[in-house]
Amino acid sequence: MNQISASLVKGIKDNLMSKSALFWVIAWPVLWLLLGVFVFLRGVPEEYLGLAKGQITISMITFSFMISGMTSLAATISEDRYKGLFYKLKSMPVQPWKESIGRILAVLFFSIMSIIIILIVGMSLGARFSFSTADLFKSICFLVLGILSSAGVGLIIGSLIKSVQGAIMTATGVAVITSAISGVFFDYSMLPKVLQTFARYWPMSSINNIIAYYLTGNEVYDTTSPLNLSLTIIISLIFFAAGLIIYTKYCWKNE
Amino acid sequence: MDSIVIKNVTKEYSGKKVVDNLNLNIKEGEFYCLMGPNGSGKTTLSSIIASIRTQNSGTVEIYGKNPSKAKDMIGYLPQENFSDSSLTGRENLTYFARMLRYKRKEASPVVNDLINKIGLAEDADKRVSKYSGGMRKRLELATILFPGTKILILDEPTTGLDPSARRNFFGLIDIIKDETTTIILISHIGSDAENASRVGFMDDGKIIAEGTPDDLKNNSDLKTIINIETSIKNEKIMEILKGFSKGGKLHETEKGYKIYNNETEGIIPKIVKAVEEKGYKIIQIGSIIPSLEDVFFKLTGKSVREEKE
Repeated sequence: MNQISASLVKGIKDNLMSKSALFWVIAWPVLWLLLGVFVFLRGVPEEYLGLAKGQITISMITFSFMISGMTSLAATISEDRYKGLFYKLKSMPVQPWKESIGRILAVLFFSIMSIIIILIVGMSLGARFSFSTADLFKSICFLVLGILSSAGVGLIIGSLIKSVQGAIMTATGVAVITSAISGVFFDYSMLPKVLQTFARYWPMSSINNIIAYYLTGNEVYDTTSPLNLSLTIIISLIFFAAGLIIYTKYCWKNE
Repeated sequence: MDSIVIKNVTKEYSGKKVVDNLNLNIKEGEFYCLMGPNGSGKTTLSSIIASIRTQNSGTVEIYGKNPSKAKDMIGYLPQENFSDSSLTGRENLTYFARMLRYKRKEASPVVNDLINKIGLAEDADKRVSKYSGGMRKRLELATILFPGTKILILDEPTTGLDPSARRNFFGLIDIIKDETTTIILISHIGSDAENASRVGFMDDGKIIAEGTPDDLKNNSDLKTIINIETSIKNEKIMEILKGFSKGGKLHETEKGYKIYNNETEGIIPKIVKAVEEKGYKIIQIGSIIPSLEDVFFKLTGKSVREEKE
């Protein structure tokens, strides 16, 4: 537990001290939320406005945890490698999996913190949600799954791309581009057929749609069918497991 | 009692032997310096001892154990700064304490003790980004001084530090060191190696000479060296100076050249005359006591400070 805790505390402090992490994970989604509410939703009938604002809030929550898991994690890993921290840790009785769990818990903490802020801003702007206790519980489970899946992608990028700038740019690119083409920024129905297929299999957009269904009732396709739920869970866990394996085996063992 | 026993260790990268069938025993409490140029294999050897890398063949034992089983006993200080500049000195040390499995309550007094030991009590709660190079190196030294560490491996610890900070660093090492702590210093700086009780010259993956600093110098047959600072450096001046050097060896320095000749009284005016006759200027000339770097140069014809091609 001590090593997990050490890595967790360092990860949280690193994120809170990083202006770029705070901007991309919290400020940027909040700005888009404001833009969405005051620009994109003009003309939406009053009776749908609250739920539409809720939908945008959920999209920005998804984007926030994607950036937190992918970019912030990849950035801290590549920066720590550049500084030679792994070289130092390899000489110590440290277990890589414990160190990585601490990093992932830090992502979880940072993501939840940003989600709460985005949620408060969204609700203060009039976002409305409609859900049962069971829906809320399921949403939280999928939210955690989304964060873990994003962290898996972050672990892979941080482990495989050696340069700090390269890792940050790649992770940001993956987060922004996949958000744009998978219906996180735009409505699923606006996507061409091929991107709709991608949106169903890319776990972050799938989770975005699942949470949106549970919290606003907006079902864009058979989002909560057993097949879709199973696929989303399996693909998310594959990303997470692949990230963990690559990080502990490749990032630490690489000479 | 030997704390480190290295037998027939070889490490290859892409077919090139970086450590070549090396044997070395280091006694408990000894301060051993591995001295050699970049690429001589000293950092690779130290990383094998610290179990960061593994050798292709041969064995390394730390108090009879495989290095990977003796990590609790080894403190490795890498050459590069690894501390987190966005955290404070105390937060950095607490991170390493927890990584060494100290519980939160146990870590605090140990970290306070280390902060006092390295003289950073007043600056412990400042961010490391505000530290000078010397302060940061002292902080990182503290990461290998946790109780239970018996072997300290210092890889080029004074690189980038000014002479004053270098002396302070070794002053701190002298205070920290006790009879049972073994220190391995990796260095290419002769004055740093002078602090060791035994020095091993490493070249091309092998230890080519070993002994106390005084023994190495006394046995080198180097009595005097003439240090010459010239206004410019070029092949023509080198040709002139080689004629005055025993064995024709000429050591290029930052500001000029060093030549090896045990006769000093009459030779200095001759050198000045020969150089100035060719139209060059000597800024400064004088005899100096040979250093370990000079002994290394005499043995290998290589400068320890040069980048290896």
